[in-house]
Amino acid sequence: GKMYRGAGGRLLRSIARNGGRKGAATRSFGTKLSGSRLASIGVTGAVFAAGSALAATLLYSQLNDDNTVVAYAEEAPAFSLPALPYAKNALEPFISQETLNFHYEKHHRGYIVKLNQLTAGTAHQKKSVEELLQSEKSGKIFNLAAQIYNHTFYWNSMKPNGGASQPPAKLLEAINSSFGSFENFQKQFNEAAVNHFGSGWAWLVQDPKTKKLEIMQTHDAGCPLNDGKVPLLTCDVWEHAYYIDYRNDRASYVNSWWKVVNYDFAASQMK
Amino acid sequence: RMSHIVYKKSELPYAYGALEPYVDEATMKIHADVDRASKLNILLKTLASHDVKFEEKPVDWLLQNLDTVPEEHRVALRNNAGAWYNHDLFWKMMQPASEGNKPHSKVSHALDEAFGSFNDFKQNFHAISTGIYGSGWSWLCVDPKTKQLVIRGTPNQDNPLSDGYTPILGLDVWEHAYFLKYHYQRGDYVNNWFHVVNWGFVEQLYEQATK
Repeated sequence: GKMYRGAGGRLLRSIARNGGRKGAATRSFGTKLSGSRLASIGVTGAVFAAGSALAATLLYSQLNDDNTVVAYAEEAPAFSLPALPYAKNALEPFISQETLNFHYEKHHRGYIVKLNQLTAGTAHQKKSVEELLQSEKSGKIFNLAAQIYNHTFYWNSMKPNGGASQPPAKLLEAINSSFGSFENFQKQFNEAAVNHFGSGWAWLVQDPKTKKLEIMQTHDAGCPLNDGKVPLLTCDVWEHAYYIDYRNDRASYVNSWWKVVNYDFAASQMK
Repeated sequence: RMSHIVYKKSELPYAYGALEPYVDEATMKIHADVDRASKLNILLKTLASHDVKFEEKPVDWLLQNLDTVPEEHRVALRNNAGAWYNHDLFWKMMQPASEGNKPHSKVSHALDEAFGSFNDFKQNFHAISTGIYGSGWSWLCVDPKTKQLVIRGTPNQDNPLSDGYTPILGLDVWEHAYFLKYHYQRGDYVNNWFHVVNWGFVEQLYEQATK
């Protein structure tokens, strides 16, 4: 029969019989099997470190006439790219499909690939991206983990025509009490976003103790989680976020960001 | 007052498309045009708003002596004077590509001494340029103590003068410098940029720095 070989897949040859149960040998594409379960159907090989519980995605298995099973499995990467919450053209005309294509597929996906590479075979792979950025605080692994987190937060901070909706009541109350008025909040956010020098991010955050909302700027891959704040919204002001659509006119980009801002998401993050 | 210092719009010594295919015309039009005007304006506004008397000091003196600037003005001066000065140097440090373009005699000798060979220098420069995280510049500098050539990266718009090093060659690695043509592939931009280095100007700066 045909042997499917997935990208990065490895041939794992079973030498065990499986008792002739065809159903037991057949697995659907993409089913995750733990290392111990792979071992139980007799799949062995270089994939396993001694004693490890290896998560792997079984790509294909085939029951042979002699009741041996041949299985192709791919190690599940520790870090995976979350889906974009909307289509790539959904934020037009404010942020173009071309920008989202580059930003998501090259930059964001690129960080995921690099983080998987850099952390391969280490305990870092057991951590979540949030845990990693908070434990590392600086350096290559921090930069990657934080940028992964920041970009996911950025996609969620936007939605098609989001700016046309009114902020949910509890968010609006918090904005008014923290900044005096919505206009003042917008003004301060714009100052942070437009005036941040070099690469970085502008954030609306909440202080978890006082519950007050604040505006923050972070440089490069900086993340407010490391300042003990709860992020509510973010705007990416690295040049790659706006250069295709706005060239060096960051102010126009930030204006456009308000057209797609996702107030519901911000409210959902409040403590 | 700041009117004593002449900050004028930098000259672009060649046409926007003259560095093709290595640095694209579209990038040069924005980078060398809009940016020149806006950086100059921002610098002039910064100087005016901070109302600091600089007497008749040139910008490179300013960058070497940031500690004489009152602390509350220092960051704005470092950023905006740096931005203007870095770019003023940058246009002059490039020229249209030509067959056999390479370092002139003194710099060539100094590069071999410092790095082993021209190729070793390029590899080092490439590594530092691609290693700068976020926005910044990479520089070939003269170490004033040893007179040796060294490569240094600076963040944002910082200039090596502020750390006591004299730049003789610089490369803008802010995303705006390469994004339109190279997107996220900064390494390719660096490799291609070597074709358009103005080694004649670099030689001049080296001679001045090692007098």
